[in-house]
Amino acid sequence: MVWNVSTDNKRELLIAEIPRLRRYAIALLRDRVSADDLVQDVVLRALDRLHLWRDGTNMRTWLFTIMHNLHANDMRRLSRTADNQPLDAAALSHGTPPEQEAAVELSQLSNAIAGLPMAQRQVLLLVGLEGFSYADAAKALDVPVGTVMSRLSRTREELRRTLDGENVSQIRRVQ
Amino acid sequence: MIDRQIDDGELHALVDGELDPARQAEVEAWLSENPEAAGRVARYRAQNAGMHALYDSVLNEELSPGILSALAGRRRQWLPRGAAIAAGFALLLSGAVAGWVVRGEIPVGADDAVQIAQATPPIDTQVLMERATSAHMVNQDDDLKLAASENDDTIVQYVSTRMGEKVRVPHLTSLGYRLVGSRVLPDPGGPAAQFVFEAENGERVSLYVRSEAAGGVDITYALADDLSMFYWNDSEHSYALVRELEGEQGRDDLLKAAKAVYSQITE
Repeated sequence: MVWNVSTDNKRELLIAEIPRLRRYAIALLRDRVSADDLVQDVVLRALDRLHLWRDGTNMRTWLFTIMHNLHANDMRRLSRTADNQPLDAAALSHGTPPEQEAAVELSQLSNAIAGLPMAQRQVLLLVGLEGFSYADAAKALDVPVGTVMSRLSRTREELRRTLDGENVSQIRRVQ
Repeated sequence: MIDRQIDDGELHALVDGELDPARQAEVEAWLSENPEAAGRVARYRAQNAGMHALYDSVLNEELSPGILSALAGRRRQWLPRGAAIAAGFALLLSGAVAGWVVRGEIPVGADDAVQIAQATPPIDTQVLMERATSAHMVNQDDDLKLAASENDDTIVQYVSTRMGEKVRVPHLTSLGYRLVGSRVLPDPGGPAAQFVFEAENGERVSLYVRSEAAGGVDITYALADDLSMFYWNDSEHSYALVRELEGEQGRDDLLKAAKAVYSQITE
């Protein structure tokens, strides 16, 4: 029997990343249907190009790069969801209901993230949620590392001010 | 002493673990004397924690049918196991796992727990079937941790370490199957274990164990063109026992094996 082991191993590596792709896509798009559509497209594209992925490079970064490219190309999907009503934070968290105060804070955070421009949301989620290094985030988003760092600083500070009630962000965002 | 000024970017780099250890120590020392900046760092960290609280539950969710079929749709090209099996597999996966016909009419005693399942299994079950099938079809020994004997402790250790829990290894010797070995595979529900058994004539049966329960506890029978399967769940795992389809006798043999596994390792 001839079995292409390396292809199969790559495939397993890819499958293992799907939950993270979904987490990121749902947080980014704030719409589960769109997110699953996007992840599905990423999986198809990645499987098509699996032979291009080189062993020893980061599968996660590679997949997120594909996702970012597909998402950037899909302006229709973007415009459909960018200003959708925010996801209900309570509906997202499973298990034991959090303390009342914590729930309010989470929904505030969720709303504040929803108010961010897409480019800022991407950096915030890649680094803050997915734990990407600045270098990997830069690769996945195809921007210089310096851009990742400045965008991240600005985004976090805006979020902080919004959440702390120092509502300067409204003014800063109008450019 | 701090020999360089600390800018805002470094506060973020601290949060993200991007500073080298020496600089990190300097920044942390500086923060201990600058409560305003320390407060901002704490808020940035709270943002990260909040995002995890909001979205980490997604990691444990089942995959959508669309994603599953995206995975399945490209499966066929990796199945160079002969035309017959490839064709059967194409049918099996043409509608995700819809090609599996779930059957329940098993001619067994009244006290048996074999049940008729619904025509379309829930997604969790479909994932189980798809993963168990894929693992069974690979069926090669290269990445198989081989068992020295039926009571080989290294197998238990190998699987338990990778699954992150104490795993019991079933014995099917009384049914004519000896344990060949085990492998641990990535699975959407966390690491999954596969145990491979072999009869004297070389025929193989594999048991796939997912660390995620998928619903019903009844032993359910399903068949595809070339494969035959029994699957069930307990409180923490789902199980699928797979073999090549060998007619009614094969199915009854597989059921015996499924019951043996069920009684030995199901919680």
